[in-house]
Amino acid sequence: MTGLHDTTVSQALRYLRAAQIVSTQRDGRIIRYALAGHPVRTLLARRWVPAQAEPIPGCPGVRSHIGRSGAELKSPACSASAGGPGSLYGQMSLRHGPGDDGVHDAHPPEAHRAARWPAPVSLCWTHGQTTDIWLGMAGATLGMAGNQAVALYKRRVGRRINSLTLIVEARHSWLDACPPWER
Amino acid sequence: MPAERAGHRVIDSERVCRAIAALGDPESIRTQAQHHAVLADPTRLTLLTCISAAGPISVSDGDRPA
Repeated sequence: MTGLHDTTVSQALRYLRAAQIVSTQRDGRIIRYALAGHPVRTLLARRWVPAQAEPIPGCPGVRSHIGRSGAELKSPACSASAGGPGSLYGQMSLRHGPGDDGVHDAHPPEAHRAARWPAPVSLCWTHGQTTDIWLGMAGATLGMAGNQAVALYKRRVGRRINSLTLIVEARHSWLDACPPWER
Repeated sequence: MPAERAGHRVIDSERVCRAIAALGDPESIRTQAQHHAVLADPTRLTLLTCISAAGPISVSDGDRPA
């Protein structure tokens, strides 16, 4: 897959695992490696500045933004002149075994789209992975409860001082906080 | 302008302040340098690129090209 010697790969993986940059998932005798929550992950995500996709022979549906010649593609002229056949990235494409007809992308579709949009727009879909979703849901629930409490308070005060505006505002706050099916 | 730089001749004070703010504390810079050093090794960068793009992935799936 990578064109690297097994011992080199083992040493590098041992280092990355010890530094908690990658984590392992064991599935019987198979060990799969994934990026852990190390800050290096952010650096890796920033590394790519895709400019042009290039199909990978033998990998249907897979396109790489890294030139087979070893250079990041900026223009056809650039890809034709840079690097050599033995360079690092020229051997990096994913190789599929027999019976593997899955479609993989060396870079996610988000990266493709991000290249065509200014950063404030592309951030809508290149926001990384969602983590701590239960914490997020707990925060949202807390926010809803707070809005409901404020709505109740506004309605009580509105009725006490006989202010239609405040009562309507209380209704507004309640609508902001309640789930859609209760509206 | 920070007091320790009061005696220095400053051409563009706003930019100096922005540069100081970006640097943060020296320990933070050292930490960032270590993070970049991880990616400065071609083997590690190769593996991390593959894992980042396709992980979780088993390295035994790969084979050396002829």
